[in-house]
Amino acid sequence: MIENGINRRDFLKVLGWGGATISLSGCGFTSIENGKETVVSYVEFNEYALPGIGVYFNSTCAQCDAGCGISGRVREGRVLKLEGNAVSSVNHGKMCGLGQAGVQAHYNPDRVREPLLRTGNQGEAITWDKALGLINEKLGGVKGDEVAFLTGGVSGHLKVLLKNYQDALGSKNHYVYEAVSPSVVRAANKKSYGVEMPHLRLDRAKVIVSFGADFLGAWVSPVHFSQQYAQFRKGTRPEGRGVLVQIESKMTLTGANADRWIAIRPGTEGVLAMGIINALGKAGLAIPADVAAASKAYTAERVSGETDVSAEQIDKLAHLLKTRTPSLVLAGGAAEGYAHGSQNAAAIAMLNHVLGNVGKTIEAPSRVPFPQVEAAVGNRIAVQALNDQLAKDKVKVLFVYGANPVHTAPAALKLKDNLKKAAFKVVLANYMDETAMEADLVLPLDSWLEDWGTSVPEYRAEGVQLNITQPLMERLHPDTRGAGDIFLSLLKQRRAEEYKKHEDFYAYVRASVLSIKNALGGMGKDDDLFWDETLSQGLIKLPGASAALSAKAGPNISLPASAAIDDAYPLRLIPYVTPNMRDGRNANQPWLQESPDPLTTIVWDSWVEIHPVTAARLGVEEGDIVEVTSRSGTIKTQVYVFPGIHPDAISIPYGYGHQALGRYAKEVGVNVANIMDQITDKETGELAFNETRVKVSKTGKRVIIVKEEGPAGGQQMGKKIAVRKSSDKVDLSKEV
Amino acid sequence: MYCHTGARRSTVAAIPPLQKCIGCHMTIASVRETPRIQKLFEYWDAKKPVPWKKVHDLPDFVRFNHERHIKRFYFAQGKPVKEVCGYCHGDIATMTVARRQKPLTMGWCVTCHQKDHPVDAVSTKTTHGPNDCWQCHK
Amino acid sequence: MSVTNLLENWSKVRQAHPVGDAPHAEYKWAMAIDLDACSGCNACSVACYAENNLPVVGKDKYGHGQAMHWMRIERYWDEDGRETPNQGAQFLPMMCQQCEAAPCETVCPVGATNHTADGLNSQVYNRCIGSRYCSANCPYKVRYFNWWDYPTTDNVWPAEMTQQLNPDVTVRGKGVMEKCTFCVQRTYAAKNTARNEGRLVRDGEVQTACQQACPTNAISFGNMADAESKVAKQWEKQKVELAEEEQNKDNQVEPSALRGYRIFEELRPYPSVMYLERVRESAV
Repeated sequence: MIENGINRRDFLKVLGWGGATISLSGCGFTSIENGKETVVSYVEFNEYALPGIGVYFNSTCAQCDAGCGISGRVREGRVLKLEGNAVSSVNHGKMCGLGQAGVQAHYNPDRVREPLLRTGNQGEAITWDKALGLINEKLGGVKGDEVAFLTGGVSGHLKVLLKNYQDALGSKNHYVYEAVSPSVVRAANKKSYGVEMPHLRLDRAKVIVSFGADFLGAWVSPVHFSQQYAQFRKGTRPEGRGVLVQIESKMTLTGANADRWIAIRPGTEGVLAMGIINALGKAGLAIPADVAAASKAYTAERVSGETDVSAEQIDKLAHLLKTRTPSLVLAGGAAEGYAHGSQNAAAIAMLNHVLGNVGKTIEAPSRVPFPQVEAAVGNRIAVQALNDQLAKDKVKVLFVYGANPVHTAPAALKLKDNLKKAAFKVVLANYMDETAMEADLVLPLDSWLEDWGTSVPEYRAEGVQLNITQPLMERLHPDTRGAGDIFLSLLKQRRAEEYKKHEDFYAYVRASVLSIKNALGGMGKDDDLFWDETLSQGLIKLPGASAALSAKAGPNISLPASAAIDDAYPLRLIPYVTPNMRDGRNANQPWLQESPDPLTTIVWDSWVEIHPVTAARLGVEEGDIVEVTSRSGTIKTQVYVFPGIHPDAISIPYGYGHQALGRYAKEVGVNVANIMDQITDKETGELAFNETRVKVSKTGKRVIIVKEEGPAGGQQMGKKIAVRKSSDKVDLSKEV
Repeated sequence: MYCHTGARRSTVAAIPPLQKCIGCHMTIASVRETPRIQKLFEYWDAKKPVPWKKVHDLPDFVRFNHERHIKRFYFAQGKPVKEVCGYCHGDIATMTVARRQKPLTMGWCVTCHQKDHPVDAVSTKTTHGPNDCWQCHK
Repeated sequence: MSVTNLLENWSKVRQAHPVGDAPHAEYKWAMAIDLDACSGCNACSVACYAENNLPVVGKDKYGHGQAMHWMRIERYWDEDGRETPNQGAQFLPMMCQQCEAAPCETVCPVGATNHTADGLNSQVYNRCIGSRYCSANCPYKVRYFNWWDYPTTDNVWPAEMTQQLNPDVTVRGKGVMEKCTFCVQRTYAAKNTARNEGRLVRDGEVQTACQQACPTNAISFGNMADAESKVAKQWEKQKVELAEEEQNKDNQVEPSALRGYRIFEELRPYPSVMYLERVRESAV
């Protein structure tokens, strides 16, 4: 608990405490030394921090957009380890590997430490005054609509400030870009349920049928869903142990945990959904007339031919869904990543309606009572749109924050070239990533462990939460600043009168939160006390009524016939979003590079997964370096023969192949975005992630893949190591 | 233990912050002008931390827990402070500059433990003490 | 003294621990891992890196089998020749099983690895001379050797990353063996606090780093000597006994409907980690 009156400036004046202890081999007569080691004391001290005892501060993780609460152990003024914040309704005290690696994002040796101004191909360190002054100068004489902002998802008070700054400049060009966002599903959800992100109850479902939604790995809010999944699997809950069916063309982490994993021909998810509705009708489930009419053509014979899923399996699924209810059907990245992705998602949503899941496992999310802090979510159209504007010379000044499009956007967009057309580019970044390398001015950011802020996650797990981000220690590098502080300074250039009363972003956030104290449950409380309690908790739970869910989806589904195989490019490319790398933003955290991919166990490199049948046909073996070529480009990587993929597809992980971002990320693996075709979903215009078609050719080179698994490659060789029991042979009622 | 407060409640005895030294010494007129105290005040005025040379410096692979010893000898057994602290550190009250008085080697520590509870090869009775290497050498 | 006599007596000695007349003291740390809940996400592995100052070795050394992950996730496929893994994969978190009759303890030439009174297999870094006999003997291969001096190796802990190191855990130099300690620094601190208050450590008061991170709560850890602890109850419900090399329930005619098992039990190391079998729905 932070005492009243201690302001954050004397947070802890620390100068090291010896830190690491190295194991010395005892040599010499006695290993007791006299006066050899120096110990440095504090000068002034905060009473609550005892050397040797960790103090825990709560904040919010920013490694992905889920917004889990963290509780960081701080000793002698250094944050050492992050745990989950038990009070957060998002993660209830649990953490994923990404969150743990947050300390490496903070202590990373390749952080940008001062504002850098481009001079030729170098960055010259300049002062903040000069940097901010330069921005002001470059904005002079530029019209509002010639200024653009490209950011990642933003929420909370930073979003408010950003909007105000855009208003002050007269710019409406805010592109919110998320490379791996479920934007097609969001749009389909809006049509089917009336909301973009309904509240899901995995823990209430008896069956989960997931069309490629990797909810345990990288989809939406993995830690939260993992906890619901744990409940789902418990044999002792009233619904009994749940069944997970995963239908996808390439096995994700969630797929590896499925009771039934179904390899489906890429792109045919919607067809299968309609086939299941058809089978449900045949099995006797009551289906509304218009839906029945729409699904009439999807007979088991036709569907199994198109999807490669046997008629028997379709029947089994229908039977399972009919008898075990409520269920939950999810549409994930695998289903939405096609030119007809919206149709796929719509068909899948229809399945939920037919099964009566709406209102049971699909609920209305809580409404955020203060819409100005609500999350502005991103999509990939944003970068496409910005790219268009850049190409037309419409952007004179560009601000980039929280996004790295030069790495994540398909090379086919030629974004790097188009960026050169903008006269002045300011990038706010923690590291010199690919986009920062193209900047004219780089502003160094505080890490999220040294910064102030608030945020509201897009996915509302159990009600709305205003997450607090507070520094867990003094900033490491004296010249970095928080994004909030930077935008506040820029705002003061334009609206000095209005904003000069806020000394810094912290003061602004504090004042803003206190101004709505009563609505936040602080009625009658002393301001300082309420603020301290808020910081102590690390979040505020907001009262929020639920929005309403709409009745049902219209049955206007038009799914394309199976596309003909293109002889020149016979294989489908599935870029896989791995739980650790996601869009590649964490590639410079060595723990994550060294953490094996759960499915292939490969570390420190990318790979291409090929089904054994396809590999045999191509004549490739594990470790062969192959060229994967699409219409948009070609990359080379190592083959991993993998049974968990449809023979018509190959998969390469997304987010690798950095050309910058620091020593741990640079040149590790290849960037699959270099060969992705810029094909979009017909309805929403979103990048269709899985539409790229490729061909694979050998190069004649072979390497030994660096991976966790041994030569046995996941075989237990008859030993009883990781054992599996069939559900009919197990008695779960007696468990603790 | 007004100064090294960590000894009775933390894993490390801790060097007190400069603030604490000054807290007392600013009122002790008799030693205010001595060279070392003057040096201390110089550090304080410059707000620089003092780089103390460790007197009782155990190797890094030893983690000695003061707390358990103080809790046992002072709080539980009620022995006088001079004896509790003095057994290992000598009579600090008489020292101008602290000097190490005892060997502080492992053998020396174990001797004390051997007095009342001889180490027994098959003894699983104690969860603490020299029977378990990990108590001090984690 | 006949060879048979010697072998029988040695066998008795090796199997004697733990038995009735020298029972565990007030603590016996044990773990239970639910493989049905484990999703294979690797959060536990990364948490262990963070808590225990594990070095990141990089691609080359990893390729030589010199990775230092005390907790690793093994991934197994079904082995019945099926064309596609249509029942997913099996994930197994593997770390030091803290065996009661650890094969590593008996072969250390200098006694650097011992058994503590609270049931852990201790690894004393300053005593270890690096013979690596212990890792040769370990059936689980959960012992990791510091082939290089990681503190002085480039890019392992550059500049500011040293500030992340946990001061409660030794940073190991070259030539020393290391392995999972069930977060001894945490259990030690918990026991210390409990002793200050004149009581024993309560169930749930101390969590290992892996347990604390695991998003699905697959890992439970606690004091098995405390009959009310979750871990003790789990072992009891699953009818898995620490001191048995073969469980009664596995000796029946009908295969047991309980999920608890230990790995390589038949080798008689008496591991302190019980796994709960993954379940797969038969009707789908």
